[in-house]
Amino acid sequence: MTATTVPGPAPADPSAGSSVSDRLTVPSDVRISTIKGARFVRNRVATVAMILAFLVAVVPLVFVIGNVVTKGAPVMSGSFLTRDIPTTASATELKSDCKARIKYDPTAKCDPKAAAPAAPKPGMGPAVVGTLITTAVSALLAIPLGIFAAIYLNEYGKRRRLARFIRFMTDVMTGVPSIVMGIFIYTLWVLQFGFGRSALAASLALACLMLPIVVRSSEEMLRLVPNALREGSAALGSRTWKTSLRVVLPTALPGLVSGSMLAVARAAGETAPVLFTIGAASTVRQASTVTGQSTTLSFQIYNLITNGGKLSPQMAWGAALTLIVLVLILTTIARTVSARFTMR
Amino acid sequence: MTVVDPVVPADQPAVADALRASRGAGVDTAFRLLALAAGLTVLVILGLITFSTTRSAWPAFVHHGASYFFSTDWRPSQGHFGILAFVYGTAVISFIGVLLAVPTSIGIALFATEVAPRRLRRTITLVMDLLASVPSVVFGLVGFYVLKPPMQTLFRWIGNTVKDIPVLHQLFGQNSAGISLLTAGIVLAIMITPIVTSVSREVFDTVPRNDKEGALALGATRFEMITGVVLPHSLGGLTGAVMLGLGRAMGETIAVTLLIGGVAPRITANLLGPSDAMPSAIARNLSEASGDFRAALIGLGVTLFVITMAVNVGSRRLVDVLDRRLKGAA
Repeated sequence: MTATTVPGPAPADPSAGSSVSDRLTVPSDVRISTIKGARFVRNRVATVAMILAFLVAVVPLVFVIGNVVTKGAPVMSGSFLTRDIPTTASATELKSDCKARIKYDPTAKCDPKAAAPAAPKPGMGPAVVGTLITTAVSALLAIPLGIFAAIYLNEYGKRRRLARFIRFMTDVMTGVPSIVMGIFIYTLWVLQFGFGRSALAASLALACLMLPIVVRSSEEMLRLVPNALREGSAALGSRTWKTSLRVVLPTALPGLVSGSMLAVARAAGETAPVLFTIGAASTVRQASTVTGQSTTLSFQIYNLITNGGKLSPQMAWGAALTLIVLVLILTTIARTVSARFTMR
Repeated sequence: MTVVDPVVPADQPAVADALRASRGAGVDTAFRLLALAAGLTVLVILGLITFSTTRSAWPAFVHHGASYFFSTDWRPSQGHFGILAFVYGTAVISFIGVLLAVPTSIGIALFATEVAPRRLRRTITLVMDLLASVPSVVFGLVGFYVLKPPMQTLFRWIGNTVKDIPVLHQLFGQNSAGISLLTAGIVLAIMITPIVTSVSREVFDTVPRNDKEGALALGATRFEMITGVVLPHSLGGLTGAVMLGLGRAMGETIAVTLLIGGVAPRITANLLGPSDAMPSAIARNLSEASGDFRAALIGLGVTLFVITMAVNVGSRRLVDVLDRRLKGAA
């Protein structure tokens, strides 16, 4: 999003215009002044409506973030982020096991009520590990590919028909629903090739989602590199590949980083592409894999809401806080880097 | 300043580099092909998406034929797969989302481009970026745990209040559970506001400054300047922005899945009743489905893909055409 908000020429400052008209004093006996009154009121109403529209957008943001922070913070701790996810089975197992023991041995020192709540403690370790792994792998797949595609579009293809077509289809691909990417990898990778569900499959789906975003933002950044640099490099005898690698890419690097980070942030929070592709994991050891089944924070939140248990709400809030912080860190890196870039 | 000697000694590193590079024409070809291959990947992936999903959904299309698309009878256990009610659910919630988001987004975009002081503009961008970065599932979470209970009270109150009013009582039925078409639509509106706002802002930024200043100089108030100059100039671009938002709304999955209710949908005017949409039906069932049911769900995905593609291609075309016209005018 920041890629598209490169500061252009400043639009006219309208406040100056209106303050001038405010200062103009129209004699009250002139008829026009009453018309001006009505117009003035309409103008004010419109301005207030615009401010209200902005506030209407601020409210849900504050509401969502406020809720996530206040409800997630009490659960948050180092052990929450590293502990295995308690399975609902383990809690009920413990309880029924205890009941069974009392049934056969009434003297058994075992209180089903006391034993059950002590057992499961909220933990999101596997989801944290899984999110980091799938996001990193998808970034490794999508970012180099996307930047190369952008090099083709901006350095070689330019306004050729094929390049224009690829550019158009990339824009279209940005709008493909994320769940379709999930279905795509599910049908091709899991069903057709029979590779099964895995962190890698989920990464592929996320990479499909990221690719068009990386291509378009990278191309915008490459376009900002002044042509004089390319011409200078060419004048020294460099070919396009060398110019691209030695001159264009280093100049555009901060912009490329920022665009890619936004794509990574988007992928980290996505649930739909992961649903059918990642499988399941409940221990950190299981989730520490690329080729095996895993889980992610977003998937866990969804799962906790739909198959709710006793611990579910607090774990879901904790996971949501973790996810939002992760996404915000990535977005902040992107924004800081791009701010540096535009300042130069 | 002296004239630079054109004969540069070849022992200077940069020049030596350049000379070596000029010999590496093969490297350049290889690099170009590599870049081209990367560019073509986009086309390959889009092609594979179409092929692979359609292939998996084919049995559903063939077995059920037209009734797959035009029947509302969805009973997987009996082998009845008619998706029309899902299409209807998606259409209704996207419509509600767009209806609520567009005026808000245009208002924010106008505020940001025409009214707000410079410093506040950056805050507006920040708020929109933050809103855009909140994951879908978090909206779903907050909606499900925090908004559902008050929504239920509110919707029941609305349902009871309008129960004797002819049209309204069909739109707002009684005994809502709080998760409904309307809830999903409202959340969609929040989720597409950032993208619609950001595109609208770009569109408004292309309005020539001279036209705006001219209107102000003729004595127009800011509101008159907006309605007389900015909006007419931006109409095409805004249509593109709206369609982009519509495409996003139709494909949004997880928040909708959690807030729409998830019951077998019927085509009904009741906005306060639970229903289902295309992406959420897939999200809820595909993981465990097999055989015909799986094919039918994937077919739902293919239908969604085709519809969103059509909307996106349409909106891009519109923006492109407008772009060209603007550049021609300038």
